[in-house]
Amino acid sequence: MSVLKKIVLFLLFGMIHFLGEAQNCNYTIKGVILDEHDKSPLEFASVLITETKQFVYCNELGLFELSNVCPGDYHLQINHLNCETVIVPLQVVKDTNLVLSLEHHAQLLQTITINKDKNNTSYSTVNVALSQESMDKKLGNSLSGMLGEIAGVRSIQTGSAIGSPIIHGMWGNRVMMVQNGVPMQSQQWGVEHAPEIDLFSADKISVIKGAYALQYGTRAMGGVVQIENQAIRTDHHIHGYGSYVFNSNGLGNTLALNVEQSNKRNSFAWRAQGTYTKAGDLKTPQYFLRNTGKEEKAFLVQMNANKGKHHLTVLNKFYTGTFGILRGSHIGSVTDLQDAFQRSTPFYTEDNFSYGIIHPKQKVLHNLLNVNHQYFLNKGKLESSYSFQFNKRQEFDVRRSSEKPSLFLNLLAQNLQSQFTHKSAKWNYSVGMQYENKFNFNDADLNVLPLIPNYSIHVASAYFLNTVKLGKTHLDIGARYEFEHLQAKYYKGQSLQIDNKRFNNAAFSVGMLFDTKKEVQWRNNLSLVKRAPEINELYSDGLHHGAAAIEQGNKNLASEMLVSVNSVFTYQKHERISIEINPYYQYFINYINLQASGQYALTIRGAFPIYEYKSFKAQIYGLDVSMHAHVHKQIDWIFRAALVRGKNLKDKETIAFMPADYFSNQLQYKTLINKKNDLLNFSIKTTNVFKQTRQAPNDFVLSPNGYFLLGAQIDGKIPLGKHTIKWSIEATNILNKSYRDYLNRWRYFADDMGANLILRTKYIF
Amino acid sequence: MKIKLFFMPILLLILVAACTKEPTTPNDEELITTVDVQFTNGSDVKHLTFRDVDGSGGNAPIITTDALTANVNYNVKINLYNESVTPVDTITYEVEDEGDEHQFFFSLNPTNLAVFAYADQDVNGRPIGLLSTCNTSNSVAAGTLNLVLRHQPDKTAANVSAGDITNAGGETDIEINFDFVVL
Repeated sequence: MSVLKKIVLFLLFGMIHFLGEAQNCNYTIKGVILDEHDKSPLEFASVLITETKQFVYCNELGLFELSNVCPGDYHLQINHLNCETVIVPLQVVKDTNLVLSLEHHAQLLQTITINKDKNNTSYSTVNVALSQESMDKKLGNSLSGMLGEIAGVRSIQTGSAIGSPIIHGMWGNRVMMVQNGVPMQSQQWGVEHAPEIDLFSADKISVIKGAYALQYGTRAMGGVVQIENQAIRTDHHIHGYGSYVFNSNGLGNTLALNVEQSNKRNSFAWRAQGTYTKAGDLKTPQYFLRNTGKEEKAFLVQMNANKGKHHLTVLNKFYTGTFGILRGSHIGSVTDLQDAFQRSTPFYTEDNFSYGIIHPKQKVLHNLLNVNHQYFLNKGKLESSYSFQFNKRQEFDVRRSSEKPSLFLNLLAQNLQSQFTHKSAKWNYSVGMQYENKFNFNDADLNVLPLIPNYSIHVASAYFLNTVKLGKTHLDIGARYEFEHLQAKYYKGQSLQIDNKRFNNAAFSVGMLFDTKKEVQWRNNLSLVKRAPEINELYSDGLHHGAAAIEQGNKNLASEMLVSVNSVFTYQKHERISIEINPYYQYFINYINLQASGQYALTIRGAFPIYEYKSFKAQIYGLDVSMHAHVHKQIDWIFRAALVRGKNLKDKETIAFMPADYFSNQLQYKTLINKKNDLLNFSIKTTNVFKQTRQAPNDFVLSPNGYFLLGAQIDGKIPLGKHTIKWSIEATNILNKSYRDYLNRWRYFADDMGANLILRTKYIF
Repeated sequence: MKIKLFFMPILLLILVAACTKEPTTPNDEELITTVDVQFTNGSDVKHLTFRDVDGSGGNAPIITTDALTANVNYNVKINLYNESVTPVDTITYEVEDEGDEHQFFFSLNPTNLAVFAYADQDVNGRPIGLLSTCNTSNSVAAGTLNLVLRHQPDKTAANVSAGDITNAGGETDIEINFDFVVL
């Protein structure tokens, strides 16, 4: 072919191609962007077509228009100053009209609740959620660290890695962890037993404070911590994220990866996620905490299938962890405990850092398999689920003659539940039924007397929740009944005992939400909960090494009854300030607690105090305060405080492990880098914890002094085409202060963590 | 119709009747139930014994002591047993095998009741205390002997190898107060 012919052909093809494109590139995408909560327009939100870089702002009515759009497959990115970025996949084949809602106030309402959760049928309870955005800024923190962002939620710790949340002065058997709608079954009665959860696989953590026992069980007296995953993105491209977190204190590294995909018809979706963490000895300002490393591995697989009104989810979450227990905290006797407290540095402290984990240590495993079915009806849905949980806990002491664990518990639990929910403009209700069984056994090869016996428990429950809207008021009412059968098998001396017990548990709740003016809300809730004593309260028998005490259960304990009153005042002025004040009062008729009996048992290691599970009248009351003020266009001030008081009314004594008073202040400064709304946030946080002057009796040592901590963080987002990188650098305990916290059981042995520099990156694709 | 809908979606009905598993018979291999401190001087044999066969809890331990003869240099041997298992397990051998991780401490109150000196060594040349000598006082006296066995003490810390427990650390495996009488 001659050169001229080639040029003509090229131009012809080029022209056809060009004409072909130009012919169809005049489509328009029009729409309006609204606030998710009240459907008001979000002025000056921005819309960007990621692939073509076409960009426009909404006007003051939230309206936008993108013209001259070519047909194709796009991802629209919607941004607004106070909202989470929303990415909408869109296939353009003609002119398109969109109505989009953004979760506004995502930052402002971080700690404040306006209880409009779609899945919640109660308006009178306090429900605080940590959004994905706030969780991303604290990636890598333990559950206690994450929950520390919520006023009034504290943690009882055994070192930094092991913690159990405390809500309104209650923990362990009185706080329920719920993963993906399933109450978590584990050895939660133990103060050194942290919930076995991988937080990297969670997208949302919320706390329901106060008795919310109706839906999940009477164990939720103090509250519920819900760990959830958000819906899989309805996008047929593979999306996901990869995260890396580094902690300088402990030289901890975490790697997490998540991938998910839906099919084009949105009838099927899957997700897979994995996390790995390895950290070594933590450091106080003065010395290394020998043997405080940890290793955690977790994975999640999920599949969703939709057909018409049916929605099926199959989820499996696996978690395993090995935690070193501070070598210097492993004591043999009361004398050892008293000696340990005299030491300025714990015994066995070494000068060098190590990733190694030796005895004493904990090894835990938890697997949750959940099958969930939802059937959507006109005004509600029917939801059923089956779940199977396996929990394995091994605790290794320093033993003379073997490497076997001293505690080896296996727990298998099944849960079958069904709930029907109806929602209409004025009336919402939920009715549900549950059947649970639990099967716990000590490993046969322990060669040490077990602390709690082998047992099986069956529970059958039914409940209803109801909300009615009367003018500006919402009225809640609900009730729950549980029938429980427990069988325990254990040795008393040389003879085998088989105990059968039956319990009738119940819960009742009534509440009101007053929407007095547009800015003020007042919520009140009265709850009555009756819970059966847990296995450790009934049948504990043995020497609790770490506590230098002999703990004995009482198999004649009656159920515990709680009357709880929660009042919440919320004042919210749009974009300016949000205040929440929550006083509460809890009265127990048979509060079950471990009390010093005053007697000692002489053993070969010397005399140990005997603690017994007893019940008595008690009260726990307090105040949680949260405030978020938008003091300037770019500056926010957040204040949180909580006070708790717990008293044994029979003996007129304080109850142990009540959190000390505290308050925290945080100043945040936001900058805009360029007009694409890339935010850079700076924040400084101060925490003041007071000395716990209300000392529990029979505590071996005086409670530690109060302390002040300073922290700072910078975080930002970097857009990379269709993808985003979120990053943050945080420094905690910047002043490298030596301190001990009353709620940390290692306060008998060592100081708390010194300064820590945290680097986080999350690449979202 | 609504009731049917209610039960229909319960797909997997795996109602395994969970039976409680039989526990294993109590058999604590870790336990030291019996401590026998034997003082020998020729035909003069005396014992200080601590016995708690059912371990902590249950029946209280029984402590028996013989009075020692004044002005005598006894050879002292400590034997440890676990009498809660059959056959009786001699724990002494385990402590010997892990001699470098164990040390006995003898504290007398008043201090002039007798003088104890170590008579054995671990692989590092430091005392264990299963064997020792006891030189009783010249005159009649009475008081207490506090006997402690520490696991993983720091034998290199000041005065520890000389028998002073102050800087020893480690974990207490045994701590018994015996009446100590010299006649």
